[in-house]
Amino acid sequence: MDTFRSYLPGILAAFLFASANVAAAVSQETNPVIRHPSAATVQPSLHRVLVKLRASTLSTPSSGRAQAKLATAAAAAAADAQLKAQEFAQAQALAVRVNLTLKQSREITTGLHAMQLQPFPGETIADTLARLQADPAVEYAVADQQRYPHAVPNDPLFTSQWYLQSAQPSGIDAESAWDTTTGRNDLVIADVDTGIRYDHPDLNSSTVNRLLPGYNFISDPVVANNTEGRDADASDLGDWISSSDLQNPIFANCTVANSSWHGTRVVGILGAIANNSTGITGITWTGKILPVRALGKCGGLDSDILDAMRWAAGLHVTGAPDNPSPAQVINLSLGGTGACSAAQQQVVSEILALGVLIVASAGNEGGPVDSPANCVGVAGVAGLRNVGTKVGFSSLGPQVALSAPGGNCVNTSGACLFSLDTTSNTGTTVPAASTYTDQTNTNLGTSFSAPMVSAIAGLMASVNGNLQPAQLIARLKEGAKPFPASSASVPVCHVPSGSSDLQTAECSCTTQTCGAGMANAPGAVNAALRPIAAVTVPVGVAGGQNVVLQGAGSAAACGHSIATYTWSNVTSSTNAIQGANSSTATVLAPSSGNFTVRLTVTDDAGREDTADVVVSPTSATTAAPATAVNTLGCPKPVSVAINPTSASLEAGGATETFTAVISNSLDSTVTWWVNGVSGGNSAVGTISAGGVYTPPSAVPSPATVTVTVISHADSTKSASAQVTLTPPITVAVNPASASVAVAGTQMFTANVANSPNTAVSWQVNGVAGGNTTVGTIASSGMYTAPMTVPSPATVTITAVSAADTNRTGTTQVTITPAVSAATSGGTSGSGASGGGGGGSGGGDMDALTLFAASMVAGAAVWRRRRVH
Amino acid sequence: MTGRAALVPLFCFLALTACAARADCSLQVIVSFSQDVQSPPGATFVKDLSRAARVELNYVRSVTPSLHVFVLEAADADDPGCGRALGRLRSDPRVRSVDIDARRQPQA
Repeated sequence: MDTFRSYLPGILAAFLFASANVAAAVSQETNPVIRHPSAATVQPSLHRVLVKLRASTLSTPSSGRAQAKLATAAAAAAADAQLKAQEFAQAQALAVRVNLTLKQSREITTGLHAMQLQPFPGETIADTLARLQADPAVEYAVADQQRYPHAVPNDPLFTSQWYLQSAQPSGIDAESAWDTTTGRNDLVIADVDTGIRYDHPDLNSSTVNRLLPGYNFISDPVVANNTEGRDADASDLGDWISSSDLQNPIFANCTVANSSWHGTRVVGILGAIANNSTGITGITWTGKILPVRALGKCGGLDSDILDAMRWAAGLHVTGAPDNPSPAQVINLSLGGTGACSAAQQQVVSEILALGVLIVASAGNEGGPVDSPANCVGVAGVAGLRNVGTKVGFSSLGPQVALSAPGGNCVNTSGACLFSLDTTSNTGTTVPAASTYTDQTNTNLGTSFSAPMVSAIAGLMASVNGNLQPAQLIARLKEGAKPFPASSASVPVCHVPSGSSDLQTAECSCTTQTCGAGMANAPGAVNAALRPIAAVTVPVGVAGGQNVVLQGAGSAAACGHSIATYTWSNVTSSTNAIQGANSSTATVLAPSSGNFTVRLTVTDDAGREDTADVVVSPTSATTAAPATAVNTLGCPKPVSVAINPTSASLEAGGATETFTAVISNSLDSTVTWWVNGVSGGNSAVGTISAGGVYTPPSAVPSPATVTVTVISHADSTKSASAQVTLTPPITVAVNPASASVAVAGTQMFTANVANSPNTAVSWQVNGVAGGNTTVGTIASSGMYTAPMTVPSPATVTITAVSAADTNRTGTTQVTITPAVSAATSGGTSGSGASGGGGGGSGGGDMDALTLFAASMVAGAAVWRRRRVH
Repeated sequence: MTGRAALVPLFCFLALTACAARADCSLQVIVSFSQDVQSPPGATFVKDLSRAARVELNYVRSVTPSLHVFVLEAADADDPGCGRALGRLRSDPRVRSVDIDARRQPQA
């Protein structure tokens, strides 16, 4: 069922393709990189459909299937064959009823059949589906669509994002990585930066929001450009420096500059919304970005940055509410010259111990690696030109873990050919319109190399959430591409001798200056997919005694399992290993010297990892972890629940509000469908973005519709509710009109349709039971006119349905003056005159009423005579 | 060095509290103590530390139980960067490290 739900958007698209209007819209698509064949051009000889039969029509209840599974193998096989035959018979019967030829049918799950049907010549898939949908046994019928990898986004500016592609030597080839993963719903990457423009539509749209609320850790209001300093608003308010700002000693070392929107530019690379046919695409497509503001006008202080980093990692920071969504990766596209300070290293170590990776840009001075990129345990990232050489401005040195594109212009004037396109804002001071950087509005710097690596690490954590920061860095390096060979025309980079040793021109990278290689997304993801070998070693070892080594703490990547454990000798071929092919091995500790034993774990896909253990007469040591577990772990599947799960509503009647509960995802946004139509329609009812279902005006056929909610976080996850629509209750009052003399009576009856509960209550002019002014009405429907003609003389009798008090029927009664005994021939003081029989049986007066009416009438005549 | 400036260190040595008004250097620092201290550090502890290092430390906030932000002021003549004052503070056995609370820049 969930699998089917994943088809719904495409199904809708299939219907839309059938429409000329939408075909026209598709033709306006400007993105030349879409590689999916157009569904409109596919004319299959057979119509492939997915048909869900109503539960009430199924002849093989699921309990029967369960029983079949419990039987002996032979019995189960026989039962299975019988079930298949029954299922095919059901599909065949359906095909016969709708006058189609069934070519093949396979039941996917209970009641859901994948069918291949022979259409009539010229018959469209929509026609076939319509005929199937009209069958009472069919809950829904949708096209069985061909699907394609979504590796290439439809964002129109993606083509200019050269750094995500593979054509240029330094491109990270995110395209290839996306075939494996585009992220995970519970992934959080923090960016400690200038804040974010929450109004950028490629970061936060009506349907997708990549941004978490974040926090602002800038203590000084002047730097924060606000009135209170630290607050809960991570918005980038602008960091421009005016000439008057320079009078402030805080800004003495800065220069006049426009607002940078630096955080917005960095975050666009981390996670601009993908496949929204808008702007660019980010490297991660799912998960959240956590903007943490620590840089303002003229940058930011270490003390604020350290607080921001700690908060991003989930640590408590006094004065700020705890972060409800701690990050797994922290991006620091910031820095300053000098060594990593003790304070920085202390906080970095604290964060690494939580299993949170820190990625930092190397710096733009062409000198030694900046701080905090040079802190131990941080993945420092240098910048590359498009061809893979170090871009002039990038700092460099042995603290760099690896390199990524930093942008380079090639031209000395005009278009900057290899700018790094990303999200931005047009405001020179305060925020203005959202925009993108390009070859004119350029974007260069190691600030943008770092988020490429941070995002790749996010992709890695998406496939293997047990990787610790050091393991992520090791596998980032493992997956990196080697630097291009140096050429005679480009000098080889060297390790800076000091802060004044600047290499501001292009140079050929070495592993001592630019890290292990050029960041490569598919290489890193493939490296992350390898299992993690973990070994537990004993605390104490004695020469000549057994040493038990346990590898059971090893773990495979998400969705995989460890298939084999193999222990082997590395340094001694004669050393006996007991349990060499199990998770636990035993070796004999040497009396002298030492030897190395290697654990190789292989997962179910054949990927391997190894861990070495050095055994001496006194110890067994390993660099491998005891257990391969990080806090992120593997993603739990997104689940969706809907409430209520069923409803019975009147056509044209009251609305019903459905709610969706999304579990295991930071993204709680959903889309609502009715019978496979997004938002529904007038025939089956409509549903709002908030889940408010409005029934159609008439009962559809079939009368039960399916309201489905689909998770944005995982479009294969959905939940459905059944809504049974009933004809509206109607109330008709007889007689349709009446005229009653004062004090007279009239019997009314109410005919309640479309409800087993035919009871009504009565009102006169909206007053339950009426009153002496407008007349009274009994529960039997007997109306007694007032003693005098009311003003106005016509009153309204209303019958209110007890089944639905919103359903009423009305009639009008005109109260007429009494006819005097003299003029009436003494027959009656009042009487029904408008009922016309009306089937009401009303109008006749009993003797007492006649007497009373006569007395009242007589008194009235007497009063009139007195007046005249 | 002016005659007045020459007298400041002596004055501060004799009466530390007067130095704040005559500080020749002032900067924000992040101090790591050898042992965790309460947040904020006790006034007596800070006062004693200040006296020993011949500086004035004004508490700003704590980053962690062992990392605390102070504004350091000192009246060392011809030491606008507070180098000597920082050296004295770093030499105190109760102090593990003192880092200038440096300003960082976006790298774009």
